[in-house]
Amino acid sequence: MDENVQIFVSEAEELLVEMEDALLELEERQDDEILNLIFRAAHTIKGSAGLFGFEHIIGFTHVVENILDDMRNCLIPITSELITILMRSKDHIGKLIEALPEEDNFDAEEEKEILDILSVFKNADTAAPSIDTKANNDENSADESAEDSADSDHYHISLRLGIDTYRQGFDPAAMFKQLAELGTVKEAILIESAIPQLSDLDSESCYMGWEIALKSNAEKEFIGEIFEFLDGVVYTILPPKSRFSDYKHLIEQLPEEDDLALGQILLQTGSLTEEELQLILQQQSEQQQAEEGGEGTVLTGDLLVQNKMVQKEVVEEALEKQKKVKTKKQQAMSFVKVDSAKLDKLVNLVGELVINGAKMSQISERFDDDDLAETMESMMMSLEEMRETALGLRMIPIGSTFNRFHRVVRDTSKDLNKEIRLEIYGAETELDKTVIEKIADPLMHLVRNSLDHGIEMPDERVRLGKQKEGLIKLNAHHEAGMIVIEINDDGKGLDPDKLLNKAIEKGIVKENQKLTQHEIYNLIFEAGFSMAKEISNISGRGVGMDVVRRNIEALRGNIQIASESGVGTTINIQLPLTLAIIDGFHISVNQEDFIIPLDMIQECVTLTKAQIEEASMHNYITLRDEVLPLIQLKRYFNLEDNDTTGYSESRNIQHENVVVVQFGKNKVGLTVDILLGETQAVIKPMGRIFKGLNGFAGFTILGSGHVALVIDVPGLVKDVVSNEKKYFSKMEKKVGHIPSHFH
Amino acid sequence: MSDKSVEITLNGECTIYEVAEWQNKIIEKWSDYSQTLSLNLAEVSDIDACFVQLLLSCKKTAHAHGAQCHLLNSPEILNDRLKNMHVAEILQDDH
Repeated sequence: MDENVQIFVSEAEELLVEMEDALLELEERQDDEILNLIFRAAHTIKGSAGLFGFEHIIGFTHVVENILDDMRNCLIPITSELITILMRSKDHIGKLIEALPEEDNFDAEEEKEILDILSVFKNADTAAPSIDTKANNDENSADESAEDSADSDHYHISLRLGIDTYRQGFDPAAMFKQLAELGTVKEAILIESAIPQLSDLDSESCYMGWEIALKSNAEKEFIGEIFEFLDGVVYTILPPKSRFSDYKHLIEQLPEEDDLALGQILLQTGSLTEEELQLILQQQSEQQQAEEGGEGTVLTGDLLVQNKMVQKEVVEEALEKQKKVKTKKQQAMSFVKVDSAKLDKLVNLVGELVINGAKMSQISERFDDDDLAETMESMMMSLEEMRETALGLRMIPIGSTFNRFHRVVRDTSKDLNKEIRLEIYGAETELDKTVIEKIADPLMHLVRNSLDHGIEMPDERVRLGKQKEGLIKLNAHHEAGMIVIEINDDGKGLDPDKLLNKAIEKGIVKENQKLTQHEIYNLIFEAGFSMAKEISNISGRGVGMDVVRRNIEALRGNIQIASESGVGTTINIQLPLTLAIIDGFHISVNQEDFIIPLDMIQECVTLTKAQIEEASMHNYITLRDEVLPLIQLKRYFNLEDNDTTGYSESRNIQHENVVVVQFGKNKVGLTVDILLGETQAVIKPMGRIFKGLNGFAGFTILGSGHVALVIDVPGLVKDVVSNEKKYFSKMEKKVGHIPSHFH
Repeated sequence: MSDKSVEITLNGECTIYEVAEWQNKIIEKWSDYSQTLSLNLAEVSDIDACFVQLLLSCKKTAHAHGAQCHLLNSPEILNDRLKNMHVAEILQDDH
């Protein structure tokens, strides 16, 4: 695809997201500014599509824009049904854009249906005149009895000629002649801001436009006919005594972004006469002299309002436009769009640099040179900062993913005849782009599950003494080097008995098997487990929660569920901050190198003799009055050698290093031989041949050139907790007691 | 701003068919935009909006470089054309 079209597509997609958010907000709160934002989004998409000649997108968006315009002019009331069809229209525009550069590849049936519904809304608006199909003539005629109409007795024509106007043989002189035949051209102000300087001028292209005041008794349609057949022309005709909202609309639509003086804009729109403006400017000058700079300058706009020469809203609109132009310029300066593939390449390169930096650092230690050591240290600090910055480039707030659920909740709850509200917390929490992309689908599934199975019908809720409106909360926050995402609903919760029966029925659990409540809840993540009695199109489509779990585990994450019957369900997802580079802790077991992610490490301790004794008995120790299960890495990874140091074999060890790691609420101690210190590790995925290998999150290349395996702490912790539970379950049968930390 | 000025005499029909040629000539002769540019229109028989746009661009360029651009000896027929297009004031305000 052409690069410019790609830019158009990506910008249009952003605008559509803005549009959807604003539509949802509009349904909650009817506000002119939100409506303007939606209109501008549609208008910009239409305008940009015009640059590429995407006629179909222009045509469809124009119909939507007309409806939005009528909404702005209060000709169509804003209802939930209207929002729904506008959402569908927005989706359809999205699909049209997605199909580019193919313009003919679209769902004609869907489009026809949308257009039919839109036309019903449009026709209900009896006060409005019929809308021209020409993309540029979308204003409404004046309501002379309206109180908020301007005093002007002339038509105001705002005209910007198309770029090929001259090449097509059209001469504006002829246009002025035709206008003169229809009435008197009271004023015509040339808009020359688009004309380039001499060396940049494509002399046969047309850059001119006019703001024209025409006193005429002719019908608006007659005037429009003069411009109607010009390609690329953009024009607006405001009849005499048009409403202020029409002028506001015109000001907002003016394409000029340079600093058009406020007075001039008002003059051009016909809200103000030349004399009035002159008078105001004179008064302003006098007032400034009198104040001698005391109170600062008085804005022309304020004076205009004080003197009641122009309505406040018109001034505000003009000021708002100026402010928006400035904000837009500032935004353009502070953001640069970069292809994410380039960012990936940068992160990879930084990763390689980190590896080589570590290698250099080790080499430098061989030389006893203070200067070299100092330079290396400073270089390593810069490298670390560079790594942080490079990774930061890929971090984006999760809010953009969360926000799309507003629509899902809105539409789905309507389909299900439920009343559900979505609350979002921690939208600003940042997460690696790849993780965000991959988490979107599992989250969607979980939210839909809550909507479909979690939240009860409104009547049921009232009967149970709950609020009629159900609540789903999405929450994201940082916790121990991980991102935690929670999906919480205040629905009926999970019924452990039902779950267990279902699991037994499906053969996932044996009939006499004893499970804790926590384990029962987590059965829903088992393959082939679906609670839906009937397969609906919301959830229960066979791609069950096991797929969700697998997706999350593929991101080195973890998913847990907690529920209380009748109160609600909370799903807790833990994800690593990034997939690429981590701060690691280098350890050695039996002369093999391993890396433990530093974020997971709570502390390193050296066991005393008494503790070693204890460990040798139970494979757990008591650390500051807390029971801590131990994993002896040497044994766990089968690294036994001649030096038999296992607890059962050797009771003569004097000390042992233990790295205490934490995952979620569980802590586990890993016994290791040597602690080698912190290091930055670029995680490389394990090859396919090692796919079945548990306990490792990947590997990395150390500064020494050796390969070190990165320990998968969540996996290890889960493993030990489940083993210990089995162990204590057996113990319980014998002695009827389980240490409290395993509950 | 330089004290020097450049005078260029235009002649014949000044329309879209001639505009590119005149643009090149003006750029060639008026190499220093900070010099005042005088365009002598005495021998111009006709002008269209496209050519007017070139004159407007000259004026804009001059102003951007702190200079001026004058139209000299504009025949009556030309003045009428400029008035009809409502550009006369803008073009002639450097006098």
